[in-house]
Amino acid sequence: MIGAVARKEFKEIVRDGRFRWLAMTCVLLVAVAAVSGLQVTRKQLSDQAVATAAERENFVGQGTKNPHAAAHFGQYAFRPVLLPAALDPGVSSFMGSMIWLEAHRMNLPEFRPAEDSADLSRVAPLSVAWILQFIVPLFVIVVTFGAVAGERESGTLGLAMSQGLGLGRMLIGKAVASMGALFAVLIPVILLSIIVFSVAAPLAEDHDVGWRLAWMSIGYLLYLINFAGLSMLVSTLAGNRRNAFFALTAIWLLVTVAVPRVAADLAGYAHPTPSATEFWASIRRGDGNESGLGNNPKLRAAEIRSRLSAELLEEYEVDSVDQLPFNFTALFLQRLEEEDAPIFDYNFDQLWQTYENQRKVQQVASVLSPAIAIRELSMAMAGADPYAQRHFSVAAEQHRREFVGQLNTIQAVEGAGKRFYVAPGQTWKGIGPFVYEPPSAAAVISRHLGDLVILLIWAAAPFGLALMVARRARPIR
Amino acid sequence: MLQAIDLVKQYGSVKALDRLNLTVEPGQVCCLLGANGAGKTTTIHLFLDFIPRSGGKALVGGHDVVEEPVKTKALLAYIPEVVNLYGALTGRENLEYFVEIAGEKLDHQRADQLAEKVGLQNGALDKPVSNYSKGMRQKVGIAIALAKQARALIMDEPLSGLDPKAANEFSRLLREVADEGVAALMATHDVFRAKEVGSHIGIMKKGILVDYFPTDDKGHGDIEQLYMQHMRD
Repeated sequence: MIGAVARKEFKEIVRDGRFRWLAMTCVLLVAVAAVSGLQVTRKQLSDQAVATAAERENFVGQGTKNPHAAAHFGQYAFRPVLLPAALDPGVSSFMGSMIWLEAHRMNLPEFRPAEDSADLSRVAPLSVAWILQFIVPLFVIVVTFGAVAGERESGTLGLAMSQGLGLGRMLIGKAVASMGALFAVLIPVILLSIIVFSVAAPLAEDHDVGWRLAWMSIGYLLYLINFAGLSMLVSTLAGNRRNAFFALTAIWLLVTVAVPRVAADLAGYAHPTPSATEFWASIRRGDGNESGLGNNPKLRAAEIRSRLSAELLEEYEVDSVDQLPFNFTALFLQRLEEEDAPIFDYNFDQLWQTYENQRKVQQVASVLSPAIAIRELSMAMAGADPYAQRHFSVAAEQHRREFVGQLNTIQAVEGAGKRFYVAPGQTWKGIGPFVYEPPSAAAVISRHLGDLVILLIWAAAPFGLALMVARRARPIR
Repeated sequence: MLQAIDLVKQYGSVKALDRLNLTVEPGQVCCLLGANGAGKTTTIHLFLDFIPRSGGKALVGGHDVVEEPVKTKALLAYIPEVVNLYGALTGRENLEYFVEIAGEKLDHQRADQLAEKVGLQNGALDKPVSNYSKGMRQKVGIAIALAKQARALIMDEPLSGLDPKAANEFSRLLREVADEGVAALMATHDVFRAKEVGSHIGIMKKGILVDYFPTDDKGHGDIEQLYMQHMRD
């Protein structure tokens, strides 16, 4: 019976001119967005490959130099672009694409792609994710809003129910058909995207791309099922097609635009992000400084130098730091790094925690809007969310501390007894490049299980409610 | 086959149907006559469980339509005043669909036979229903009922808007179906057709069945006179 309804409904949908036009529009939009996203990603990947090689060449080829000067010469760490970001660029346009790694200072990522974009691109960036999150739900609504209301209005519902067809079975059949019709449109596009992606893949490292795309697909499937379910529910409750359409359009607007917007504002209000000025001022003040050495950077450095000097002179029983069996300045610089690290850790942790708290507020709001849950899940899987930025920043900082430590060690050992040590040019080859592995798809999904659960509930609840309503519904109101 | 026992439908303080008691045996065609708002369509809707009843019972084949909807729906077929079909589908696709959801199978040949039996023109079955006239839609509705091989037929003004030829064909088909042992309940305004196809006539007024009689010992004129008399009272 359900099969008969699904087959009939599928025929009706695909023969409907509105469906064909909408389908063509969606396919075109998705194709344009996928191709342009892929082009941008390929360009970023190739630019990054070139820049990474050039950066390494610069660092290794900086010639004879004092190791601490080499630490100040610094190097860039590039945030890898994942292929799924071609589908969902998330907030990557507003996240820095690289971090400058240098002695004494933990930096924030800089060079945000949005800085180079035309202003209009900030209004409605076209991406496959944007189309799936905003346009396709509307498409689902347009195709399904008349599912029951239309049959009730035209009188076919009575005839069908008089044949012994229960409204619940009719709903399931209609849902299967509408999702089938939707996927009949989307699957060729997805297959085409996979072919195009596999052509682009040689440029990108793996980073669980397959799993990431699979989780994104599951998320979007649940998200779209939710709209089909909502359509079935409203269509069952509404007296006619017109009422069903207006109610569903209002729900679409609320769910995809209003609630996410309000939630973002609420999250920002509840957990305000500090301005860059405030952030760096806090670091300069030494907020999080637990050394008890005061918050004036210069005085603190002087105090560290004095304490270290006294400690070492006593330990090695010498009168002057020049008599130490290693280069004192290098040890001092390393101690300074170690004393500053908690300040950076504290302030950066505060910043990351603010983003995390904002995400939690939004996750609560996603109870009212699955659009928030899919947005979070999708951009996380695309490696284009604030957490991806945090993960990268932490790894880059780890690398900064390691390579600055290595350079200080070289200076301490090789520069022993020398006022000013200059290392030979080949020294820098021994400092390893920044190698970064983004979090695995499994790690990302474990962080976003809440979003997945919300999407599951949103996918199941409207259908469940529609089926409950259907048990009591009659063809005549 | 069709039985109403003290059947009541009330909207607030208004009784749309007041303690209806009616039995239609297999092979009988009962025509309900009455003015608008007399309770004919309400009776039909209660037998179909399209609206909740306020009291009493409606039985099909001895089964309560509310308590055993699956069993009762399997026994009956419904032809509304306007048989609304799916315009994007052909007549054949509509026929196949409605038969399939009733739990029956309909092959191509049987569909053609049914089309011929109900008088659908050759080739019409494979045309989109959006191009069908009202008469053609009614014929598909009858074909659906025939294909289902229902034991009871419930019709709400099925002749309304049909041209005389189509109405004649419909009457012929209905008599054939009744001769095969099907019980039929038909709401109509048409006294002439009621006499022509009905084995019994019920006259309804303000939700009450005011008269019920067999048609075999009455002429058209008698029935019309009776009807007019009840309407005046």
